[in-house]
Amino acid sequence: MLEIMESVLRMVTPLVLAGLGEMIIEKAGILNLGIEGTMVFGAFIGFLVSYFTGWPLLGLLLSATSGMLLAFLMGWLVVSQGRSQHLSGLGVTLLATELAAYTYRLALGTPEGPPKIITFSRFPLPGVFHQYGLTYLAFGLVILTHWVLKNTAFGLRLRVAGENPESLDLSGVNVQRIRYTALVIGGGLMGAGGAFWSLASPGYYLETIVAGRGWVCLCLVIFSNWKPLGILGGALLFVLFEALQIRVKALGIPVQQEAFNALPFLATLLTLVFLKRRRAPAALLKPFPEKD
Amino acid sequence: MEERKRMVFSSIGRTLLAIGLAFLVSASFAFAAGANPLEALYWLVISPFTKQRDIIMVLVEAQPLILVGLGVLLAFRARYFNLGSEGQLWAGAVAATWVGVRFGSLPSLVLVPSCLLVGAIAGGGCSLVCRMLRSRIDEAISTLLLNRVIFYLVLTLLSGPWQDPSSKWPRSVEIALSARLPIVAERTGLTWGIPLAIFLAIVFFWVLRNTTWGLETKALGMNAVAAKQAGIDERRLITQVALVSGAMAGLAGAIEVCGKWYRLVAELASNYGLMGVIATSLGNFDPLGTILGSSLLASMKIGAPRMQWWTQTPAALGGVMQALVLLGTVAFQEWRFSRRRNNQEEKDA
Repeated sequence: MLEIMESVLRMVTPLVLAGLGEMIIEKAGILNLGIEGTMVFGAFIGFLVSYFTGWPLLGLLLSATSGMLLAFLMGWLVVSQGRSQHLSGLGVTLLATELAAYTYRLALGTPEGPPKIITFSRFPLPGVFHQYGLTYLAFGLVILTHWVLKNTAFGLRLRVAGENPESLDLSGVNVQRIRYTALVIGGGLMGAGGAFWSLASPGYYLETIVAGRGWVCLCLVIFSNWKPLGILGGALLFVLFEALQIRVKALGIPVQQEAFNALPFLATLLTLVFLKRRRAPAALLKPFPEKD
Repeated sequence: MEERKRMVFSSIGRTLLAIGLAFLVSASFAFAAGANPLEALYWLVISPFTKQRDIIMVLVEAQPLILVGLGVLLAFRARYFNLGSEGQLWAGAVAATWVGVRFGSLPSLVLVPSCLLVGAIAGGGCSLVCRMLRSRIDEAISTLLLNRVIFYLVLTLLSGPWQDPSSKWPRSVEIALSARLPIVAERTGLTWGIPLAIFLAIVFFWVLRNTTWGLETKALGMNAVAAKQAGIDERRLITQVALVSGAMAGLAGAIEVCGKWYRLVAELASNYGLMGVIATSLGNFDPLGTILGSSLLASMKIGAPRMQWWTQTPAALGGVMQALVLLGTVAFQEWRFSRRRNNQEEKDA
């Protein structure tokens, strides 16, 4: 039982990190479809840096930075230029994914198996607390985000930027700067989330390592009703799905393994259909200032 | 008319600028790989147009992009952001495979159109589901989520009840011979799918310009409030747009099954959803432009492995250029693709 808890907490980490990142961005009013690409690129950069320097921490920092840069690109297109959020996000995802593939091939050719790198090690604590630093960070960030959004002026400005940017603008706050800030924070978290896979668990890099989990994080934000604690809860549920998937045969569940991958998305769609309480930030997807 | 011409030239110019910039950046990436950038770009985008056989390959590859692109075009112009083309394409492919296998005893004249029709209906149906959820969740998100659901369900089918017992790969059995799309010219792989795609593009071009329906969808996208005050039934129109948009993608999926693979395979969709969006963006959301955009993207896909073979530049550069081209057109074109604020009516539609 404790073993399961330990691995669940571990597997939840990247989802929580990236989910919080996307939630922060969406709370400020922007739908960032670049999340999948950012996580792939973050995983790749983390791997690459550790491969060449042997310093996973540097890899993590540069992953987060790459996420911020991608988010900055998103910001330039969407916030400064007012372009389509959907197309920009999809473009960023494609660019990041292909760039990672390109640079990987260039730097490492076609190795036999995933090259070995120096990864993070876990804290030498007993049982359930035997986790990576990133896991502790993720949990801490859930609490921090919850507190900041609820109790600080910055959190309030962020929320209003996503609900009613006009009023924020009228009160003299620079809405664009808030949105850029949200993007950069979120992007950093997404990059770090991606790096968790390559630098911590499972600790190597393959082109397929993210395997669509960026989209799961997008789902997660909706499922959580744009609340930090909901991100944690939703991530735990989604990881439970993954855990069930592996043990399908042992538990005698009469459902095929592949079908489990659809569960997070299906669950989110179903909650949207049957539960009325999902409320997106009111100004999500609307540009500010409004162009005609 | 002068204004119109100026606008067309201006938007073509912007697209060319975006493509040019994408070329430039890609060339520098190729240079970083130690290759001759001109040579790399030649293999990537020019070589597929040099031989007749290659041009046919480009057309075959462009065909699903054209169809998907047309659907995206219609939807985006009405500000209905259908990003679910991939899932709708899969739905169409699944439906066509089912009909193609189950009703194999029917003659070709009946079976082929049935497969295509069923594919279109399946795609339209998926799109309709998301359209109906529009008041709860933005269709951009719901279609994206449904994409993943459908994809994994297809994988489940292919590894489970639909798996070809003679193979260990996730693929279905072949459809009946009479379900295959007829070939235009012998030994070329060119089926009637391509003329169909081009024909539909011309139809779209005409409908969007010359029919009330077409103009209404455009008006809806430009200013929904004014359109409604002019008497346009927004709810009904959006539903129709969603249906047609999904049907196009479903049709593309059906054609992939009946014209190319002759079965359901895991590689069938190959990111056609996003590629269709890029093709339309390149075409400035115009049907004829979509044909050109699709051809360019198709040539990149075909040229990438050649570029890698001849210049050691990783094939992923093709994908990088596709992304750059999308970002470039997004950056330079002045499309109006955002939600309008304080539009409570839009939320209810």
